[in-house]
Formats: sequence, C-alpha cells, structure tokens
Amino acid sequence: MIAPEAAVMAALDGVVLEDARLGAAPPAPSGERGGVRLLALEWRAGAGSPERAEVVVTRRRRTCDGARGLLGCHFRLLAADGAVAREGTAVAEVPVRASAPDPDPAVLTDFCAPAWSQLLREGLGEDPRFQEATGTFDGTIGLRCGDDATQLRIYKGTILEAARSTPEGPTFTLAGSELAWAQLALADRNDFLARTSLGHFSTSGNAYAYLRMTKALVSIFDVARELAGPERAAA
Amino acid sequence: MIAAEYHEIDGAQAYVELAGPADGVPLLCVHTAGQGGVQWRDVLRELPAHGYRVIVPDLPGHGRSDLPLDGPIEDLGRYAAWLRELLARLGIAQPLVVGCSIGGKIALDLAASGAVRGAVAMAADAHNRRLSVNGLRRGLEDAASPSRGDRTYLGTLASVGRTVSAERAHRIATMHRREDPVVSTTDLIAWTAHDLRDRLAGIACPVRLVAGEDDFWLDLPDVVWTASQIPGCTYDQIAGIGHYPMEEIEGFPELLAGWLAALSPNPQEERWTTSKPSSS
Repeated sequence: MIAPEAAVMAALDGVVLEDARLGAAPPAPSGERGGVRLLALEWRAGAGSPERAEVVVTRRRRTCDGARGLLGCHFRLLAADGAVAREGTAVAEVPVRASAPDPDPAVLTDFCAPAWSQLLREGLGEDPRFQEATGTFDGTIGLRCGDDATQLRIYKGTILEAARSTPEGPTFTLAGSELAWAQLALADRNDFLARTSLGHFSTSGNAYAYLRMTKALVSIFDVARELAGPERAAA
Repeated sequence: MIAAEYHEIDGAQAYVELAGPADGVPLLCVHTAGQGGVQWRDVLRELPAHGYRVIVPDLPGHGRSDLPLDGPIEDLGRYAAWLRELLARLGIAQPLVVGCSIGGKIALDLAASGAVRGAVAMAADAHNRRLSVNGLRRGLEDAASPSRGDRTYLGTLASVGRTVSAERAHRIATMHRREDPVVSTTDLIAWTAHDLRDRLAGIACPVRLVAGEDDFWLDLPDVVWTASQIPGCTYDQIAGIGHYPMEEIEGFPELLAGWLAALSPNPQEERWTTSKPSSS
C-alpha cells in the first residue's frame, strides 16, 4: 500500500524543471536525487488499497525569481484490480537546471497564465478562422485552467487585450482542470467538443454566447495545441 | 441498379431505395439521428453482390421522406412501427437489419419485437445516459441554439475515430451539417428516452453489437452490459473508430457482409419470395 504523498514524491524525486514535461512524470535521473518539496496536496479516497501510482505533470513554471521550479501534478493510485483507490492533485517545488531560457519553453504550456495568454493572443491574431468566427462578436471570452484565469477582450475579430481582468468581465468563461487542459494539449487531435461533452470542461456566464463561439473555442484550442507542439512531440 | 420508391404511410410520403435481387435476403439499413439513407450508399451499391436485397429508407422527416403530419417523432418505437409498416408495403417479412446510433437502437427494438431475423446494431446501447432530455428540449428553440451548423460540423469531426483521414472526416461532417436541427434534436430526445433494458433478454434472433472505441456518445461499459443481456450476442469494439462505422471505415460493406454471414450463414442459398411492391 502506498500513500499519496509518497507516490508523488517518488514520481518527482530528482526531477528538475527542464526535464519535467507535461504528461507522465519522468523517472528520476540516476545519481540525481532529492531537492523536491511538496507544497500542496489534495486527494479523495476511492475504493480499494492503493498499490501503484500514475502521476501526470499538468503544469510547470518557474518561481518569480527563476531560482526554483513549480510542478503541478495529477495522480491516481490504483488498486490491484485497477480501481481508483486515491485521486488528487499536488504542487511541488523542484530544482531548475539553469536560468530560464528565452523563450522559456515552460510558458508554452502554462495555460491561462499571463505570458501564455499573450502567446495565445498572437497565435489567434494570425488565425483567419478565429477572426471569421468572432467577426460579429463584441465581448470577452474567459478561460480558466485550474486556478489560473485569463480573459480575451474581443471586438469584431480582433483581440484587443488578453489580461487577468477586463472592465466588464467575461461574457462567458470556459473552465477545465489542469489535467483537462494538459490532456487536450497532448491528445492526438483537437477533440475539444468531445471532451466538453464528457464534462472535462464547463462553462459559466452567457450560455448563448458560448454556443455561438463554438468555432472560436475550437480555434483557441488549435492554437493552444500548436503552442504545446514540442511538449506533445516529447510526450 | 438502385430503385427508388415512395409509399404513403399515415398520410405522409415515405422514401426508400432498394437494390439487389428480388429474392435475395432482405437487409434493412437504418440511419443515424438527423441524417438519411445516404449514409448507406456504399452498402446499397455493394451488398447486392453478396446476395442481399438492400432496403434503405429515409426515416420520417429525414432525406426525402415527409415529416409526419403531427410533427417530428420523439419516440424510437414509432420509427420501429413505421419501418414495420414500410416493410409490409414492400411485401418483406423478417429481414436482417443493420442500424447505427438511433438506427442501432431501432434495430434492437425490431429484434426485441421479433420483426427481424437478425440484427447488427452499431453505436447502440439499451439506455443512454450521456444526454439530458431537458437540455435537448431547450435546443429545440431556434433562438436558443446558435451556430448549429458549426456545432454539427465540428461535433461530427470530434465524433469520428482517430484513424479516419482528415479528408474523409471533413466529407462526413459536411454531409451531417445538412441536417434539419429540429429533427436531429427530436431524434436525440427519442434516443435518450428509449429504454430497452427490460426487453433485451427476450431477443430471440442473433444480434451483433458494434461500437467504436473513440465513440464519446456511448459509455462503452453500458454497451458491453447491453451485449451481455442479449442471448448469444456478439460484441465487437473497433479501435480508432467513432460513432459512424459505416461512414468511417473504408471497405465497410465487406466488413458488414462478414458480420451478416455470421448471423445468417448462407444468404445465397436462401431465396425470398416477396409480394409485388406497391410503389407510388
């Protein structure tokens, strides 16, 4: 039987930020152990006694001073029969290999964070499908990944601003867990509509505007997946 | 050669296409929600060579068949009854049936009522829990259902399996976008509300259930359960395929011919006598 804390620590022990890509947690490099500190842990109990762990890295970023790395994880502890005995999320502080490269590859999958939002805005600015889909829209699309949120203030096909808040707030917000965003970013294809039908994403606010912006949302995830391309290739 | 006929059922025109030898084993093909018999065009072309008399109707309100006089149908049992009436007009009894999605569930309904001699039910379960009837009813109001074309097109792209080429997926989704949204939505209401769980054990004919592993419309364990409740049922789960196997799989007619042969081993040796169809 294994405990959630031990499972996460074992999966991340010795991991440094530049090694810690999205997806399955990489094995710790031989001869390089330690340096991982668990900052937060949430889990819920299922059935059975946990025997093995599946840990997925869902978020990676540097601390503000760039000296340490932060990894978000989703874990499942499985019983011998495959039933989910424990499931939860964790945040861990890990060492970094060096000063942040420029551009920092971790930003490409730091969904809904400010730097990622600017990259998304640039990508959508070059996407004619997004411009067509929002050509008659005057509003704000909110996006939330776990605890991080961003808003895209849009007027007639152009994103005027990508920011944590906008004067009138979001017309609607699309929200998903860090795991949901990571899984869609790493999937073989953009199957956002399937995943939202399955409840991986939820919406709040103006439901009519949300339906109206279906094509725009698919474009948003097309660009998000494009940004995550290197991660997907490495996964 | 493909023949097209109109028959009047309950005061409305019913459209059906037929191909294959008149004395071939009849095979009824039932389409998915909001779509039409065109989904079976490859089967219509190729199964006659295997000895089948292929029958492809457009359900009421779909394709070239009129909407019923009292409006769109919200009960799969009514579709099943309409098909039994159509078969009677064609002078056909006890066909094989293949259907997909609502068509698959209608195939199971026909099997449960003893109207068919065997069924291939694709993307079908006994009781679907994925959709909300109340949510679907809200979508019946046009003013509450924006970007329906985009949603059908993009939703269909997400519904086909990952092994389907982008070109083929685009072609399927473009065809699906031609739907009447009201009819499609009432079909889904009918699909969600129709519960066959109590009737599965009474199915006496051979049944093959088929589901694609990438089909997010279905809860695959529910399909497995459905198969387990039908005596002697065979179950196939196809990797890389989604909700529309007959449109997604290249060479599907040959695959279907194999499944049908397993249900009815010697179709070439069975000859069927049909009364003269009453076309109008």
